[in-house]
Amino acid sequence: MRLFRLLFALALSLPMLAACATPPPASQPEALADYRETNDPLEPTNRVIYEVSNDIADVTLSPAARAYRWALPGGVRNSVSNVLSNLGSPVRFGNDVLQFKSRRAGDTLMRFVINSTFGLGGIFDVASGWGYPSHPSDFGMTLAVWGSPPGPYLFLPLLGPSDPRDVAGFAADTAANPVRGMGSGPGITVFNWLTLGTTTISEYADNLPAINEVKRTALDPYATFRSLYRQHREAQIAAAKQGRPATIPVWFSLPTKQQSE
Amino acid sequence: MPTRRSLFLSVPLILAGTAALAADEASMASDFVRQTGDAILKIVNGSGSMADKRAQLTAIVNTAVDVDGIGRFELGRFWPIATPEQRQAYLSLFRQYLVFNVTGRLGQYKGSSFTIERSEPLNGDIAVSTTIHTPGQPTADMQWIVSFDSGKPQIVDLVAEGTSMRITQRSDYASVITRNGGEDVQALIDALRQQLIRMQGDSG
Repeated sequence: MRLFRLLFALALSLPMLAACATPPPASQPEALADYRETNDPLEPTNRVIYEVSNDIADVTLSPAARAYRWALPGGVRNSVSNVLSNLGSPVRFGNDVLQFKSRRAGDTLMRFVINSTFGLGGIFDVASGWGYPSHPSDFGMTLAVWGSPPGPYLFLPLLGPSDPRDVAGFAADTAANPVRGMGSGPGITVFNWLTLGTTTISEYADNLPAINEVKRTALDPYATFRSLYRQHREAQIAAAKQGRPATIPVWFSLPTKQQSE
Repeated sequence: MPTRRSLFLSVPLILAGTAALAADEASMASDFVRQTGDAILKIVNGSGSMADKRAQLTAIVNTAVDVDGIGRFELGRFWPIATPEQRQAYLSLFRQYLVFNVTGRLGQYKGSSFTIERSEPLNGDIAVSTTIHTPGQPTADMQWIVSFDSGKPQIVDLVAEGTSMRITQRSDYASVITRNGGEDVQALIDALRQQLIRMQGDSG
């Protein structure tokens, strides 16, 4: 899609038009270590994009998300996010396979089969109750499992907190979406835009209380979001590397229980 | 003088002893989290005025949470450069800030319940994993990090979706100090004071 190409080009060209932060001198080893750990050499530029994105979101995304939360009860919102998550299953499955995580790939496949049928096209998440919990899996995580470092922190227009690894991952996942492989035509285009729009609003609405909480309580929301994003991604990647689902499927734990008795 | 055999015997015994101690702490930590969580939910769902509830929750925070320990951790590499007066001012503001944050979230957990999933050692502390069920909301996973350093179990961190509260706030504070020259903790103390006034104003 043209928008993604534009975003990608923008992301790649950012470093060129960026103002850089000045690292602390070597005489302050602790400050320097902190600077390296933060790994945000484009901080001045990132902060500008953060401020502008916030101002834009305040008049566009936030009202839309608030309206969405107001109009639909929590149960319906969960169903919308279930359907969207189910649509993302093929890409998630592909990434589980690329990460060589058979248990997680099996979970994703079973979730897609169960929720598409018994879950009425993904409206209900039946699979979680049957011992196949959801887990995130994207190409950014795949690159991480393969050993790629995240690179410097980026705050991107529309996409928000990111890094070069996740930008590449986002581009690859978008290109790999099977709906996009079904050819072109007005129907497909409308479907893609609708999915993108609904995904954006649904995800934003789900996260709105947390986002507002950070803005209300943090002294420096930019630094707080940066830390939250990094930790969240690291935890997701660590879970993927271990290949450990959040919980053990119901059927999987039964035999061991019987043995121990 | 210990014989070689008794030494051989004692090694597994000591190992077993350490493991038993860890297992003991793990179960104590999970009991502690269950009691604390139950006490919090009882206040949240109980009758009584908002002011009463706040006072009761504050009492729980003051005993169940190692507030000063968390405060020191969050100041990180700036703790040694703070003057004794600054440390005192910071810790006092930090306590108010933490209590205000906890009690400000009262309404969010109305009708919630939680289940304890597991309890396991983590970097010298015990991590107790819970799942929080709130009507109309997706379930949330939360880890309570319990420390026994003070002799009794105390909460030193909360980890939600892989994000640690004290690590996140430490970056927040470090950023405030660094952006104000990186030498003086006073910038953070002033910012905390301002923030408290603003938050108290927001809540009316």
